[in-house]
Formats: sequence, C-alpha cells, structure tokens
Amino acid sequence: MKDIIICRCEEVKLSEIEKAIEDGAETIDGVKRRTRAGMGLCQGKTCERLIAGIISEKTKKSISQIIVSTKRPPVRPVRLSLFKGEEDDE
Amino acid sequence: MTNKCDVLVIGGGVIGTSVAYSLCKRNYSVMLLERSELASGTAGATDGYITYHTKKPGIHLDMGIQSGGMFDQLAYELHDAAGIDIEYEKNCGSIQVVDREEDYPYIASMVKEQHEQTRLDVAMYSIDELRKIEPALSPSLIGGLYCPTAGKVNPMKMVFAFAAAAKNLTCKIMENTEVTDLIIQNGRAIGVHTTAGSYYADYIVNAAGTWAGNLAKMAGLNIPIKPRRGQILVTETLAPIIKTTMQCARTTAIKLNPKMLETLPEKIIRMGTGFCIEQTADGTLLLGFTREFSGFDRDVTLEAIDYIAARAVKFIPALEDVNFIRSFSGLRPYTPDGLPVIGKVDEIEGFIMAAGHEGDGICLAPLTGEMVAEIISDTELSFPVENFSYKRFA
Repeated sequence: MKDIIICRCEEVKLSEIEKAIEDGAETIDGVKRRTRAGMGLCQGKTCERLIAGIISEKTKKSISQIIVSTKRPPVRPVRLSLFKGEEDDE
Repeated sequence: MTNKCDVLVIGGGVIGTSVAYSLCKRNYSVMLLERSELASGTAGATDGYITYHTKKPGIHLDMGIQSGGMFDQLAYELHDAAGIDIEYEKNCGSIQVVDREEDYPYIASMVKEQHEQTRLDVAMYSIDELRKIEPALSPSLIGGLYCPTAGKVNPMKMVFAFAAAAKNLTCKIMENTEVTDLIIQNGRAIGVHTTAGSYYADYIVNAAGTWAGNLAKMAGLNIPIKPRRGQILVTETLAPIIKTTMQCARTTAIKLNPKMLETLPEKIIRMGTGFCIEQTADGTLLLGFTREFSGFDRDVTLEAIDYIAARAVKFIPALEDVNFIRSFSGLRPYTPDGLPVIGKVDEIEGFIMAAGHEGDGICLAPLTGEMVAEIISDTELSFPVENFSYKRFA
C-alpha cells in the first residue's frame, strides 16, 4: 500500500504511525507523543478516527477499547489578545 | 518471560528512562515498569528547558550546570543508539526577563553571585541590548539576565530515546503495569506486586516522579513529594520568532525576597507568579506556566489561560494576532526545598529514590541517571549525593 498522509496538519504518514505502534504505542496519545499526529491546527479532529482504526488493525484490539486523546480547550484556535489577564485585578 | 532482573525501575518518565539507560550501559538487566504509557505523566506535559541560571549559587545550580553539560554527548549517543533526534538545541540561550523595576536589583545581585561563584556565562542586559538578541521582545520591558549557554530539547523525544536505547541494550519495558505493593523481606526490598504480575530484583528504583511519594508510602516512608500543576498553552506554528527560552524574572525575585508576594493579587500567587516562553523545533510556541497545588487534578483552567495568554502578549506584542490551539497541564514533583530526592534509603535495603525534581527533571535527568547507576554499582559518584537524602525532611 502506498504511504499516505494520515495527519494532514502535521503531515504524518501512515508508515510513521505504524512504526509508533510497533514501538509500543497502543493509544491515540501514544501515537501522538511519538509522531506529532494530532498535535496540529485541528488537534486530531480529522485524523484521530483514522489513527484509532490503524491501532485497532495492528493490535487486534476492538476500536472501542482504544483510548482517545485528552480533549483540551480551545475547541477552535483562539487569538491570544482576547485575554486581559492580571489587569482584571488592578 | 522471566520475572527476575537486577534492577526494577518504577516510572517511565524522563528520570526512570534515564536511570534505565545508565544501568543498561553498565550491563545490568533492567525492567522498567510504567503504570500507564511512557512519557504519559510529567515528561509528556512540559517544556524542554535546559536551564540553570534561575538558581542561586549552590548545589542546585552546580548540578544543573553539570547535568546540562551532559546533553552535548547524550544527544549524539541517543541518536546513535536509538535513531531518535531529541531536538537538542545547544546554546539557544535563555533570558530571564525583568518586567517590574523592583525585581531588577534582586536578579542583578544573583547574577553577580553566580558569576563570582561559578564559571557560568551570565550577565545583566538592558532591554535595548536584549532586543538585539530577541527583537520580538517588547520595548516596554526593563531588561534581564541572559545566559547564552542554556539549551532546549524535546522532552518526549528524550524519554522515547532513553527508552529505545535502553531496550536495545538490556532493558525490558513494561507499560500499563502499575505497582500495587512492594515486597519487603527482612528489611530488604526484593520485588513488587503489580497489576500485571509480580517482579523481583536486587534493587528497586523509585523514579515515579510526582507519584513517588505514594510509592514510598508503600515502603512505610514519608517523603514529602507533592504534585504541583503546571499549565501550558500551545500556539499555532510560526516562522522562527524567538530563539532563546525566556522566563519572567518575577518568580526568581520573589524567591529572593518573599515579602514581594504581599503586593500581588491572591489569584496570581495561587497560580505561581511565573511565565515562560519557548519556540519548539516544530514552530509552535509553548507558553507557560502555572505552579499550583491542586492535588492530582490535571484539568486546565480558564483563569490560567487568561493569565498566560495576556502575559505572552505583554512580553511579545507580535503575539496579539497569534492563535493558541491547545492547552495542557502536567504535574511537577514538588519538594519543600526544591531539590530532588536521590539515593539509598536507610530503612529498606535495595530501595533507591530518584524523584522530586519539580521543574528541573529534563535538565537534571542525565546526571540523575548516572548517579543512580553509580550508587548501584558502588562506583565513584559524579556528583555528591548527600544533599539529596530524604532525611533532610525528617
């Protein structure tokens, strides 16, 4: 099979994800820490399900057993200047 | 599979994997037990500073300088042994930025002491001089300490590289294996019960970081390592905008003169008064950080996002139009005096501590690993271990 890009934001290829799984990654975060897949602008919204599928296929675990990544704010990118910080208190 | 080895290392973070690697280089058979996954705790939720210039002269600074100096060789060694680039950037430099007039004299006097007592290359600069090094810094700032020898690294890559290098030698890595109890016989630790069977060894190393206090409790020891939460924001990727790592000098000034806390709002004190900024090899900026006592809670808070984002724009005005894409938090293993706990334990033979590095784990990991291997092999120590005894808290 051709080596395709799975994580579009960080341009992580299928072969890199397979290699991470061979190295012991069994969760979305395990793959992410090794490859940066899911660390980009969309924070895994596009590739996470694909990666779950690849882990499932490789490890023979059912997809429901694959631990999803920790979800953190923001849902969409947010401009830093929207925050006022310490000045609130002064 | 055999369940017996020379050394059991508990903890798959930067300290545990460094210890495992140092032991494997000396031909010990090692099993590393990690309750979750490698780099899933503190090492996977931090920045990658190799800095020491924030410390007052003394053992902490000395250890930082010595351990920091080990990265030169380590980066090559790990690349050869594991094929992993830990993204070590030697001499990227680091600036402690002063944003309040009152902090300046404290930082300046610390720099003077550092300069007199160590061979560290540090000096104070005006904001105009600093802006020649980092043009992105706001001209409204005051100045700061610049240390050109500080470095940075990718902490997660460092863990995976230590682990892979150890695995290629004599280490077996067991993830999803949580220690449930220590097996102690006639005053000697001989093994551990885990969620995945029991394992036995001549030595057991407690490198469980933030969780090391709980593990020590299983041995009946009261070692005051507490979780301290650090929240960090990640921006979208940018073209290189800064090359140094930067911290706000306020936290250091407060350490030198705790009275300053009285003038700060309660909420800022609760979040730890700090700020730091680093651009990673991938181009994202890591904006930090809080230091909060909130138990083992790893949530992120809107309060901290607000605080960090605003400080980032204050320090680097060009960031006002930059988006942040992620927030995360990690637990730092705090000890009351800021120093790690390293070395043998009197009460239980064969049980060795290597934890409690708080925010310095990345920088201090290479030397900590060597020290533990030297203790176990009973060879000359690279750095005196006495100051790191858990007994200092008694």
